[in-house]
Amino acid sequence: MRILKFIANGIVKYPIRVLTITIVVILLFAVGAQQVELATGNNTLIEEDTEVYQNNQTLEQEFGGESIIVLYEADNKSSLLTPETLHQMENLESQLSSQDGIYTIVGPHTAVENISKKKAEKYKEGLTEMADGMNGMGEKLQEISVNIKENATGQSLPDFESKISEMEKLIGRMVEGQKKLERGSGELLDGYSNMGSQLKDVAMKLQQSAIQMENNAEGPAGHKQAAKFKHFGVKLNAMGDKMIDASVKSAGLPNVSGNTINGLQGLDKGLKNQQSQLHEISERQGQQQKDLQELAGGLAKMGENLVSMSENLREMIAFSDSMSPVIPKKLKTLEKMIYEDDGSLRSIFDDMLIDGQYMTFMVKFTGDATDTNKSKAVAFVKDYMEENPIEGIDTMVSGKPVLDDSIRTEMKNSMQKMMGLSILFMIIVLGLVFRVKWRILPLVIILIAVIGTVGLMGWISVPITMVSMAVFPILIGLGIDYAIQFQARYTEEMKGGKH
Amino acid sequence: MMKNRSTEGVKKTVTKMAPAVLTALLATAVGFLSLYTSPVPMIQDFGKMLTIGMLISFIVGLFILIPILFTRDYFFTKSTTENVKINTGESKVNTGFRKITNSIIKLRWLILFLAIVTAASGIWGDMYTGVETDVETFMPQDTQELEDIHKLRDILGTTDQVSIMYGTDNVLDEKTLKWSEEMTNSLEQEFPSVIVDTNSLSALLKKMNEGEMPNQKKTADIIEDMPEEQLKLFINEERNKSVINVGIKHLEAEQLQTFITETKEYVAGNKPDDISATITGKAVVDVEMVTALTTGRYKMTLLGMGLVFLVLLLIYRHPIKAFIPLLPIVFIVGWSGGVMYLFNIDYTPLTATLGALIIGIGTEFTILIMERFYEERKKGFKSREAILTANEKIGKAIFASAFTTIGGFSALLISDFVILSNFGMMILVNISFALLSTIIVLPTILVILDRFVRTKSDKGTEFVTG
Repeated sequence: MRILKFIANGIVKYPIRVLTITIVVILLFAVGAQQVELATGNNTLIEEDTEVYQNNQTLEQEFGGESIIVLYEADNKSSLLTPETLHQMENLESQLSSQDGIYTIVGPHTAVENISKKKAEKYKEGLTEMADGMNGMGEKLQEISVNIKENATGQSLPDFESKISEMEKLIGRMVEGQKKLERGSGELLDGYSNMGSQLKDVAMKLQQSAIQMENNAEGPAGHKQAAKFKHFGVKLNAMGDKMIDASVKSAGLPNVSGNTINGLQGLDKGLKNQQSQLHEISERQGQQQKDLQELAGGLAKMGENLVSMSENLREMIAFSDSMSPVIPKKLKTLEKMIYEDDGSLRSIFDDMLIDGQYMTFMVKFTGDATDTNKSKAVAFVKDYMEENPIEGIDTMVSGKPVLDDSIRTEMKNSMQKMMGLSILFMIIVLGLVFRVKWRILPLVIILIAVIGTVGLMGWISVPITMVSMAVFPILIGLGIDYAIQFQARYTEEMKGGKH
Repeated sequence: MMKNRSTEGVKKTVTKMAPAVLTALLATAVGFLSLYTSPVPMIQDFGKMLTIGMLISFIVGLFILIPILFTRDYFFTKSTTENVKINTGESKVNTGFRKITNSIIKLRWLILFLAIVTAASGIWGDMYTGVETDVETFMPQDTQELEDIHKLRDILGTTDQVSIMYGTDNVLDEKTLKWSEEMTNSLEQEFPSVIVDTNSLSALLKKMNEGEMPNQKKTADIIEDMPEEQLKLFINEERNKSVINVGIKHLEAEQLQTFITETKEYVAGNKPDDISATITGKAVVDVEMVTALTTGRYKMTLLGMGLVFLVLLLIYRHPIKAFIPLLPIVFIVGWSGGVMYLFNIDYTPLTATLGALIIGIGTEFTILIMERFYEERKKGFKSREAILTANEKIGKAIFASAFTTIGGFSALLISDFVILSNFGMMILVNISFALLSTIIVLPTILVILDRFVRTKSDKGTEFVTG
């Protein structure tokens, strides 16, 4: 073969040049090693144009890929669903949201947040209705007072039947509003309790006014109106009780900024001011003045108070905007949210609570999340759970991505160890078996070849997969043969060439 | 003297050895071609890596190793005393080789008979060898993560899942929801031994509506109220695709494959025409891969051998000569299968590629011995003398490279990955078989079949090694 003779002559004539050129070429190849990618995706498992691959691709695009499961374990479910655990989940979620490749995060906290959101909406609705009701009541009282004043020439009360029925409606609305508040998030503003006591005051005054009215009333109609007033008084009083009650039950304000707290304190002062005013009225009325003028004045004042209370309430609603629905801080409030009235757990939590002693939190990756994304997220979740332990609760981070991640890292570690050992063993074996001069040379040669191979793979974009990584020693094992054969033959020829 | 000898040495090595190595390289490369036919891309990439690696090893061997050796001897070596010293040590080995080869030739019919019988029964046994496809059995068994996932599986009942993805104009319309509900419920009854639980949009809706399927208005309300994080697990933004998640027991690939096929049929047979449904998920992808890997191994090995034969036929233009290197490979494949059967070693996705690797390792050895045999025959030596020289000269090198390879692979043995240590052991076994087959069985074949090749090679001496 002419070409081989040509090669042989070339090597003999220009050994250094041939050597240098080859090494330069291998070095050029080696540069490509930077571009070699480690492929582990689904497209290393099956061809991309198969139906199975395409279907899975669609599924992962639309509904996400694999998920990490964080398992919470405790003796009973009451210590699982606590504000503490839920806050931990909430924090973890918000910290994870900056990571790449996460499709969705679902846990009991998602449901609680959702309930909390809905309750907050109800709460706001309730407050608005209360404010509207108070405002309306206030206006009506003022109107009645004007009516009484206009009729002050006569000693008897004017007829304001229509206004009373309107007031009745307004009270009905306030009752509705209060009910919504109770169904709401349960975390009421501090001012609300004061509001309740003020309403009680107003109610008391109303009842006193009713007595005044009765005294001034003429005929059954007048008495009826007075009775109605008394009735309103009783109702408002009860409502006041409820308002105080609700506030006492509720927790303090969660996550409220300093400004909001200042604002609320101002509001509180304003309310106290009004309270003292009311007190004055009550003292004056305490003197059992029977004058209708006085009654009118009292009613007008009460109306004013109600209107200003309503304004305060609206202000409170405005402030409540700065509070996003959050997970309650108090266990009692939380329990109200997660249990039905009969004490059973709401069905939405069924999937997340298993056997009453386990709870799951799921982080689902997007379909195109890379291994790096996954490893990062897995490490993050593991670290987070370790750094934030909760007493009485064991946590475990598991799921397929966690297992795969551990396989990948273990595999890499094991490969490094094995490559080292491989080379060591080969040095020993070559030393013992290959009885020629420079017997380790084939190993050096094959290592150069391996570098060249990995480099060339980078240039022509053949990825390294789990299989090729796992059985990398094969490359060395097979490749070393050629070097050994060449060296053996050359040494044989050097020894005298019997043939 | 040293200069002349080293020049001659290089010329001989390149012109005599390179063709044999090149033929072996080509045969090995086409053997690996069979890896490209695998439906599994990572096996194809593995094949590509090996092919590139072989090519570069050859080039580096030729253009780096030889120039280095030449430079050393041509410019720096003064005397050959060292070589003489080694010679005495080696002559014992050489006599040993000759003795063994002599008895091999004497017993050639018995050896060939035994080889054929054992290989045949090995191939028979191989058909009964099991397949291990559960990834969890491959990794270190004391890994914390593995224990964790087992615990998780115990608690949840399932960590494996297939998804029935379905699509229609609006997955929230009454008809589709009703179908989804029926499907969700009936699946569990249909496959009670596999399915642990099911979850779907309709199940979620029912849960939010005190166990009843909500009407259209209520459905809209519930969907409106549902947190986005949860909703997107079951319904896409366009509202035209939804998914039924089926939690299943941890199954072996074969059982899983059966389950998937049956589910496919069941779903296809129980759906209206305007709903499209597919069974999919990572589990389906995995099982597809594993099945393709393990069932395609015969095809891959046979194809590899076919390709090797074709290439050798092209190079040698002699059917018998092209056929000879394949025989030892058939033996190795048979013996390897027999060992797996005898020691109850299951096939894994890695060992399924063994066939192609056997071709790679085996052809190289056999071709090198065979080429040397015919080189010696060409010089006029009788077949007995030729095989003695071939075995002595190449055999030693083959021993060296086989033992080096074994040394390299024995590192795999101590891997805590079961799949790797398993594979490492089978590779070791196969290299030993390749050695056995090349040193012991191949000479008998060469001597026996010599009469068919001789006539041809005598006439065209130039061509045989050229």
